[in-house]
Amino acid sequence: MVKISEAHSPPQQSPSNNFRLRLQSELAERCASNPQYSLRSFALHLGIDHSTLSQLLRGKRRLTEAAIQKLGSALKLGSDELESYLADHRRWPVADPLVDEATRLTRDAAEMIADWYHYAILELTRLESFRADSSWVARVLGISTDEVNIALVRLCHLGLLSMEGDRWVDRSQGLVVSMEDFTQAAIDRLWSQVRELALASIRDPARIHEHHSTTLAVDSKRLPEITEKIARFRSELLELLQHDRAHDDVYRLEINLFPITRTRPTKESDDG
Amino acid sequence: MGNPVTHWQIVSKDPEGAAGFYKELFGWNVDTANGLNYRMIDTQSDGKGIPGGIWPSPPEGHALVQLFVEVDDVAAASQRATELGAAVVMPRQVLPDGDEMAIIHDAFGITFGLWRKRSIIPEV
Repeated sequence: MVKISEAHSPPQQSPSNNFRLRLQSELAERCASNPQYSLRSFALHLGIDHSTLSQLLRGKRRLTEAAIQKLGSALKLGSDELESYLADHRRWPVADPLVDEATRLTRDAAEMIADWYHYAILELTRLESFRADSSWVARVLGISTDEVNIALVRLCHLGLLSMEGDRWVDRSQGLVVSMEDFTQAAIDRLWSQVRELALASIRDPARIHEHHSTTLAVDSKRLPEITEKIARFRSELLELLQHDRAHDDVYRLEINLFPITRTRPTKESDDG
Repeated sequence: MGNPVTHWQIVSKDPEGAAGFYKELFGWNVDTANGLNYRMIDTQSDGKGIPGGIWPSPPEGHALVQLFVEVDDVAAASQRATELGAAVVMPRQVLPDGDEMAIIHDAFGITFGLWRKRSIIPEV
């Protein structure tokens, strides 16, 4: 099961991240232009071990000045650009707020599986009635077999799923995908897809579904407390369900808390 | 045994359109009655040539043709490929019909498949 963190806030970036983000964006661009391109291909190009590159991209290994020089040279960066990364690194050699101790997908990987059905396929494999059959998966999820097969290759490529004959095995246990890893375009697409799924669910009286929506005035100082309660509720629900042996359906839980005011109301603005 | 090319695959953003095109042009037969709904192509050539198939490309990908090489051991061949500088795009998988496959990206920009037929996998 891939856990998708609902917490979404802009990542805090310092210049010391710049070179790592440059590597991530270079890999994402190469993967976008060539579907067969992988982390290993990129590591090969850069002349470093793929596991080292993986750690660098995920922020689990700190970039040294020598590494920036070597990798920048492999990327054929101009001397000015390379020097600016080195200057940033010297100024902020330690701060690296994107480092996350949890096991996380790289940004390009998260982007690759942003569409909702990738996660749905992983969850389907946990059902007793699951059939390792693209047509069956397509019918159950209401998508095309080509969409299933494209997703299948992506999930296998990322090591999140393996095909073992008449079984497909979810290998994503423990992975966390943060919404921070998605581009705004991917987030927009995902939300649009989820909205459509929710609407289709509301129109289906034969299936059990719950939709609640409340508009409420809040004291913004209590927002951290509220988000913590939401996070705890999600954790408790996952804990409750994950040990069940007899899964027979896949649902999606969406919890949204967001301001509906365009700007924060203040006395000053009221007074005009 | 040697390592013959036993299968080819068209990867297309419009797999249905491509299947229709080659069916019309060459009279090839396209059969999807398998676990992955894979568009298996029989060129209907009385045993001449090799069979192929059509697989969907993701929207961000591009059209290409891949060759599949039959090997005794897909995992071992994948390992050997990486030792020679290639990258594994998709590690060994066992398909619903029991065949094994992996996709490799060589150091020269070409992707190809490693394949082992179910019929030659010894029963355990």
